[in-house]
Amino acid sequence: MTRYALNRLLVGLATLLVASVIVFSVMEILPGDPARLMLGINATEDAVVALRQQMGLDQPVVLRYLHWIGGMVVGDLGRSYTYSVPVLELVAERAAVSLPLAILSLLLLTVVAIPVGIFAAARRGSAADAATMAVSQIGVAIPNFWFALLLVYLFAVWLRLVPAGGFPGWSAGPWPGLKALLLPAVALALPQAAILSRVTRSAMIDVLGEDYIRTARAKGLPRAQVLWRHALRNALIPVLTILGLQFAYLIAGTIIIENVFYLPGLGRLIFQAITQRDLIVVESVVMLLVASVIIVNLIVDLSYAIVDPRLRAA
Amino acid sequence: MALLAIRDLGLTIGRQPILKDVSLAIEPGEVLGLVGESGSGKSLTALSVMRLLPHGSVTSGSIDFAGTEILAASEARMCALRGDDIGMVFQEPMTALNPVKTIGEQIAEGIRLHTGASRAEAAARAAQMMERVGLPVADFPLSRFPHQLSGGQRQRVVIAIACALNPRLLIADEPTTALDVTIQAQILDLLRDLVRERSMALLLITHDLGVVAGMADRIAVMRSGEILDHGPAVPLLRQRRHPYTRRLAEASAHVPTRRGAPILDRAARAEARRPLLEVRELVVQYPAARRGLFRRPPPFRAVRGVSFDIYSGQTMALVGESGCGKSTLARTILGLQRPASGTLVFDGLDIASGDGQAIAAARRELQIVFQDPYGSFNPRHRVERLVAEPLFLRPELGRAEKQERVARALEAVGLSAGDAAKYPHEFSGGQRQRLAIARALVNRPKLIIADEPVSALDVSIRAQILDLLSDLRDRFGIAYLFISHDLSVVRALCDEVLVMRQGEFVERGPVDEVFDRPSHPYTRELTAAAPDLERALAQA
Repeated sequence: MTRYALNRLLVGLATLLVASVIVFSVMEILPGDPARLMLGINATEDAVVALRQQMGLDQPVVLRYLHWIGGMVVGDLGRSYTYSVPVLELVAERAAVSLPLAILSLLLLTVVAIPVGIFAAARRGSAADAATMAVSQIGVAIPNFWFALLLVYLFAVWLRLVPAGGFPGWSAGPWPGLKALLLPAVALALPQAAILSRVTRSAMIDVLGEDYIRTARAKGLPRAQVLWRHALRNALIPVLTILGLQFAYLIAGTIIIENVFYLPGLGRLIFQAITQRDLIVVESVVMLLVASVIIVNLIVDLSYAIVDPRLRAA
Repeated sequence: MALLAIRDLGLTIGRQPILKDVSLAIEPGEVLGLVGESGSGKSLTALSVMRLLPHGSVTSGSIDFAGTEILAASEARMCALRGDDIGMVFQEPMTALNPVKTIGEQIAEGIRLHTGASRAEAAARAAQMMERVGLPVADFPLSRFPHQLSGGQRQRVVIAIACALNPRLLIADEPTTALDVTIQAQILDLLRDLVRERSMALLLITHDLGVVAGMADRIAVMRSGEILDHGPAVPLLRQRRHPYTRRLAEASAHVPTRRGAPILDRAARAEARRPLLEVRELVVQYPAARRGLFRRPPPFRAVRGVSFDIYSGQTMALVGESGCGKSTLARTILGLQRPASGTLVFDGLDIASGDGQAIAAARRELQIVFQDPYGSFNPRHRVERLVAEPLFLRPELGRAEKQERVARALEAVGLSAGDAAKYPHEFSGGQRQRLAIARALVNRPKLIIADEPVSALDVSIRAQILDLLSDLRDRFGIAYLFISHDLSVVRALCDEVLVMRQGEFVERGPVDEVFDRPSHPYTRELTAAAPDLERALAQA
């Protein structure tokens, strides 16, 4: 088990390293001078030279990469050009919105999708199963920004239960903040939940056809207990795999959703940074998002071993 | 008063009639053998008793178990009966246990459910039961997972689960079909002892007359959902009054006629004939799993320096239990696995060298037939394309010539040229095995490696396929390397036998000599363990 965990950890670190090289190279091969790009076509030559120096662009590539990655390790992400504050500060402030949003939607996603999938699998072929799957089919097809607008219209404009957008900050206490994140989380999570519930259903149906389910029934276990005690854990492997992949979608989804709901999160930050050509911020935030996806997949890999004893030896 | 009385049981699944007027009775402590070929309805009869039938099943008639009408009982009542009063053992031990739960949990689960015992009490009883089925807890702690056990050990765990609460009725559905003969004999002994010491009734479902002959007090013979023959075991099997019982018994002892004398190694060597396949000191090994970052244990030697010859037209048997290296040897001869050392010469071509051209040339004359007639065809291709597949090795042949060859091959295996346009699912299991043989024949090979070609087939189909293989050998002079765990089949078809154990040949020679007068203890164990109808009847 320890060897498996160590192995996965090493693979995760290696992936992170490769990702950092790619992110850095993409910025590197963008046509034109980054400094000129950031300052726009009307900038003076002096300003460009000054920025080049500030960004370290006069140094060799390898050195700049090492400097960048080294800074990242000690928490120095550089200084944002447009906001004129350390990127770390900027990121920390925005992450306070995005992280709770991602966690909330991930929670919502699992809490909705897995029970629905189990329910449909247990009643396979029934009207309830057909209805659930029809709804999930719609969920798969709906783009999340359009779904978000629908939610805003229904819950914010019409029922006036939650704000339509914006974020009051956590200083006002947890509830107003949470309320502001609720609709965005739902808009992010439900389309993904539709996919995950279908995966859960088919994984459960596969498992319920296995011989050991029959053995469990022959022991005298009622159907419901067989479902929870024997089937679910075996069905979790494909479910966890998809969940890990979906986290990446949630992260990418925040860029759109935060714009729809006008939330000051990382997604919005990266969007603004791109339009303002603040490459230092773009580079750092992209790397941060990549790292979070890799960490979540590391957690998924480790939970495989918890679920399935056959993997512990590997 | 019978413990279990099934009266006029009828079953339809989605309007398809499956069982018709099945009537059976089992007395307490009695062993009833339920015999039949696949699709005869014997497993569904058992599942009706457990009321674990597939979705869409409709039953009629009555199943009375110790005063409870099973077909009318509530689901809660059935849950109380299952595992407590009726235990069940299934065919496939490799998949019958939940891979993510320990064996201790899985045995204790039923005990806790039915007796309300505490976790510790249930674990103690589970440990006792493990001891009883021959898995002492000192060597097999309750914390083991199923994947850490062999097939035979897993079947012992399944039996422990089924017998943990001393059920009054034990149902065993082909409990040993998936196991090696020596393990089969041990499991049957265990079942026999448990049934006797706990005076359980046993409903033993099997297709193997040799197995029931040694186990059952009474036998019921099923076919197409009906019971055809029914009575005390020994007279039923000796007298064979019912024509179907007679046919089954004859098919299971079927010996194809051989035109010409068997080809024996010593005669061939005396005549200085050149062997078709010459294997010398062959060693095949697999890299072992890494134990640490820098520690790699020595490779696992699956085949440890074996030598043998196969002559043209000879049928060479390779017997041994699973994991002994049979399949690795076959893969190596086919050029799918590079040997670590030794030589392998087929028809003058050196296969062991890894020379791609030699292997390709050898493969034209070297074909294989697999065990599973269902899994070895792509279901989306027509028979013509499937059977013609090996012909890609002969690009010089034109389209018409290829079609002609496919037609000839299909006719040679008893199908018609017109079958070329069909898909595999339109054929029965036996016909599919004929297709597999046709595919092997299409290149007019000199040697066919047959890996358990009849193990998945019913006895009557098996007899037909053995006849076909024998006929092809006599007509075309094809040699076979016939891999099997079924000694009766080997004796019926083969000239010489190689007995393999742990990668080595422990005994070899003409089949009759080896099986009638085995000299190695392992061969003796094998022949003694193989269920045999005639021997069981002679002892009865």
